[in-house]
Amino acid sequence: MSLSVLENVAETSAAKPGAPVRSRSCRHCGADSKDEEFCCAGCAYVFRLIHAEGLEAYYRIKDDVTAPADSAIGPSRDYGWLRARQAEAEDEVKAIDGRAPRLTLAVQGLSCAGCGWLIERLFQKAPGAGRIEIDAARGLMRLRWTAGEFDAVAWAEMLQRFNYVVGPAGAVSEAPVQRNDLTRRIGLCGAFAMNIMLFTLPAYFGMEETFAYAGLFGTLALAFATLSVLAGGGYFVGRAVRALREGAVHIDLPIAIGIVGAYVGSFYGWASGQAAYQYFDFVGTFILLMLVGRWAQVGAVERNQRRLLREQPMTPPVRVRGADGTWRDAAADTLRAGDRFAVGSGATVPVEATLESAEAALSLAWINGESEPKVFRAGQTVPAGAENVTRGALELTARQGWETSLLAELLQPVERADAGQGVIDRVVRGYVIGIVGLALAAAVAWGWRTGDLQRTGAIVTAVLVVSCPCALGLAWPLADEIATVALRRRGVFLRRGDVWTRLAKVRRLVFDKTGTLTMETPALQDADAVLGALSDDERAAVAALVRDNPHPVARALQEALLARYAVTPLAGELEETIGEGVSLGPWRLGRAGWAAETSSSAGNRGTVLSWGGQVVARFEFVDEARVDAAQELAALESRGLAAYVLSGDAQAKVSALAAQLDLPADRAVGDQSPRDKAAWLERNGAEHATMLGDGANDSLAFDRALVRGTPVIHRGALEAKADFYYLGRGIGGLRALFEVAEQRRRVLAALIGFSVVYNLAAVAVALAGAMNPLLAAVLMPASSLVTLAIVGTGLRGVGRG
Amino acid sequence: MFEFASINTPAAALIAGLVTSLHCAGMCGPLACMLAPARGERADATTVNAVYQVARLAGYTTLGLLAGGLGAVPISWLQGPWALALPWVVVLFFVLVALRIDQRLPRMIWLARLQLKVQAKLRGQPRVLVAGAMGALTPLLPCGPLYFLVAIAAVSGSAARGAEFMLAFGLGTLPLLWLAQANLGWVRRHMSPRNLARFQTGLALLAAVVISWRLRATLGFDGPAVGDFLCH
Repeated sequence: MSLSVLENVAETSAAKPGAPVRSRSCRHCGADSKDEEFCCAGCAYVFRLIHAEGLEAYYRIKDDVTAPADSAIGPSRDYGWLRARQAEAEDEVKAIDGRAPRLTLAVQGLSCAGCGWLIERLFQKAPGAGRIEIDAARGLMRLRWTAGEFDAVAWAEMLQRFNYVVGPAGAVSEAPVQRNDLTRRIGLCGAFAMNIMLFTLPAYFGMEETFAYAGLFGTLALAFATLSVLAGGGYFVGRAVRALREGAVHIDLPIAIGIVGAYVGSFYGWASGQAAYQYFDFVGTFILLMLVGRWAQVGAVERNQRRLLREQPMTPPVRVRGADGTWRDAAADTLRAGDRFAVGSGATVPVEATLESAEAALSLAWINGESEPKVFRAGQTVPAGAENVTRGALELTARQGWETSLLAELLQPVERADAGQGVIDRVVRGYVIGIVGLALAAAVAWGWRTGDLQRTGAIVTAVLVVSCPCALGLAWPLADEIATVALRRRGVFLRRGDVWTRLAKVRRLVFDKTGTLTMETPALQDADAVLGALSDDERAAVAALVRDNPHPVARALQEALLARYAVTPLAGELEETIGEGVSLGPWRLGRAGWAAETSSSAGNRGTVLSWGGQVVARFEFVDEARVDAAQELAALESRGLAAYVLSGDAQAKVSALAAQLDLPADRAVGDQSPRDKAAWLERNGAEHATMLGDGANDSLAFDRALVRGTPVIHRGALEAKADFYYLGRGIGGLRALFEVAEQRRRVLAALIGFSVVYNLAAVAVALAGAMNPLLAAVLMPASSLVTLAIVGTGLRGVGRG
Repeated sequence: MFEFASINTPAAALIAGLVTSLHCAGMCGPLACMLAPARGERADATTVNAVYQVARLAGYTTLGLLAGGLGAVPISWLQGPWALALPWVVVLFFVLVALRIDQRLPRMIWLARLQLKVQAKLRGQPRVLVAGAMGALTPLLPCGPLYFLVAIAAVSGSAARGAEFMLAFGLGTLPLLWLAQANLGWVRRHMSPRNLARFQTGLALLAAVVISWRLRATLGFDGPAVGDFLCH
């Protein structure tokens, strides 16, 4: 793509009729952008790229709001595994004439149909591409290509620039999607319910029992109700039985009791020819509604979970030197003390090791929060978790095996029970006990009083039918779906459905500093002015000098440059001077004293771009708080949520950030090791804390906190442990999270109130013997509609900041 | 008044279906399980099962409709003592099933050939389509109990009653067949052919004894009228 084309694109698209130049929504993702054109540099870059490739139709197909382009587009990733899998796939079909190699891959970042369209177009542009099938529900894509012509790694790198990260498709990814299964059951049970209605309604409209087809209609209603119970009811009954075996009572139990009770009673009514027992229409409709409710509940969280790569390796594979001197790829968890190994640029050192390369720049931000990379010399000990921010690979000798590595301890997955289901569990338990107790009481009372077993059976059936938990099974999940979708529109993605109840108990927000309260990379000061003053050639030189460079300064410069300009980097071989900078011919980018001849001590500060030793531009970077942090923390404080900064970085830096955010000095806690963080959290009310972090150093604290969130999803560190993740350059999503949770809580309280009143009235009618199938057929959908109206009204406009 | 209709109820047919479903699980079970989508296949097992069962019930209902309609005319000629003897046909059915004699009833092999031909033609078609076609063609399977039930449906008195009778019979066979489709492994482990046969014999005898007891009035003993066979 040429520079001029890209620049024109920005202008023409900005001038497009009807397209607002400045709005509250990001032009790429549609998220709140605080009156800026784009919510983050990533979105600006991807927007530009999409137009440059002529794929702007994407914006007509995509959902209104999608996930912002996160910083995954910047750093280079190790796609060695993909190269190996492509080779394996090509080897498999080598002997078979005309057979195209195929590969299934996971993809992170699929948000909507627009993403599928975009990926398909990008695939078709790649040389040697064959067919692609995108399974958005599973986050998978299946590729076919012409062997020897298609380069999977180059294509994956291109996708990454569009904010889609390719990963290996693991066994979990191939597991059936629960939402799809529910969709099919809904389709079947919807058809069965309509057929039941077809054969039930004539009786309600006055069909005599002696009518020639009355019996056939009744049997057909039974047949479709039976099919409905098998295809849809089996889902709830099976889950209720499994839960009971585990000694748990959950929402599926009252649903299963309702279905089985209504069906058995109706079956008896059919066999004995008594219309008063026959609630087949209720059975079909109830199963359908419960499936719809479950579909909504499951889908909201499942979609968010599947947006992430399932098999994102915690640490990429390393190259290990064998006894014969040859190098081979090996998983990090196979490393043993004494192994000589190499880690690539941007990769993490998985175990404590001795540096064998002459020197290296390593970032310790992941393990201690220190944002400034450090220079290590040969023979020095490199801690586990250090990130190689030099441009080349490093050689090291392991001082420990993976099992004893601090990184392994930090990344150890910790399973947690669904602790947050307390309220719904209590409601369900009370409900089950109440209804079963009432049904038994009705059986005893009516049986003893009348001695008429058939009449008693009809009343017990009526009690079970009218008390079915529509509010719990339909409206409650719908409330969860609406709330989850509202949060997604604010850039917050829930990964666990049980987080709602836990959020009500949160009183403290504990932030890590680097990458959480601040951005992952430092911010370039006066970026518009500094970069705007450069000529095209100078920008091209900067683009070349920062390309594929994992150093935080290089990444920050690259993000700032690409967000503003489309630049074709200068060609040529780069040289790196560890701890100083990089050079390309006469161009240098690095520390002032190294990159250019300066005469004053002031001139030696910052990062300099030079040509032939002469300063061309000076770049100042600051580790500043996220754009809306101060404002949002104040708003959260007013909601009774106290914010703390808990960091491994130096106390002085942490205190400075806290002061910038108007936080009291005692809320800034620095110099914390991962274990210190966990201990601090335990001493300071972990049971009421939400921990927000991005690196392995936050992992132990994560394990102790009540709720966990992360703003980073491309590292494979905390994503799997997090209850939610949030994207974008601000933290406004956090306030939305608590506001939506509060609104949802109020709606559910109203829902429970209505349900109690409705059930008391309906059950009283049933106990009095005044309930009949027609009345039940009216009451059940009517009560469902009221509960849906409560949810719809209560959550209208929820989450709109 | 022809009283056979009182014993020839859909409930009796459903019980007959439940009893013979132990036999069906052995006969139709493998066919039904064969339709189950293979691992990695796009078709959904629940959808395939449901389509197969709906089509099978539709097939039985159509067969009952034809049998009941065609049998309505000759049955109207039967009156008097013959009518009292006819309810015992149902008892005879259960006794035959209990003694496994239904296995030796003559089969219409040409029907089976026709079914196999259709099956071969369907090979390679979408799984749901095959399930629908195979379900609808299930009445073509050479099956002794099925012939017997069709014969009873033929004396039900009308097309609608015949259809209802056969639908109820099909419904009775549905739970175990669904279970066989949905939990193939579990059924294989827990239900060996020998156990199935024993269970079927026990159930059939029980049904025969209960119906005989209900029909004792037809033999001159004190008891409920034939019309009271089921609780009303």
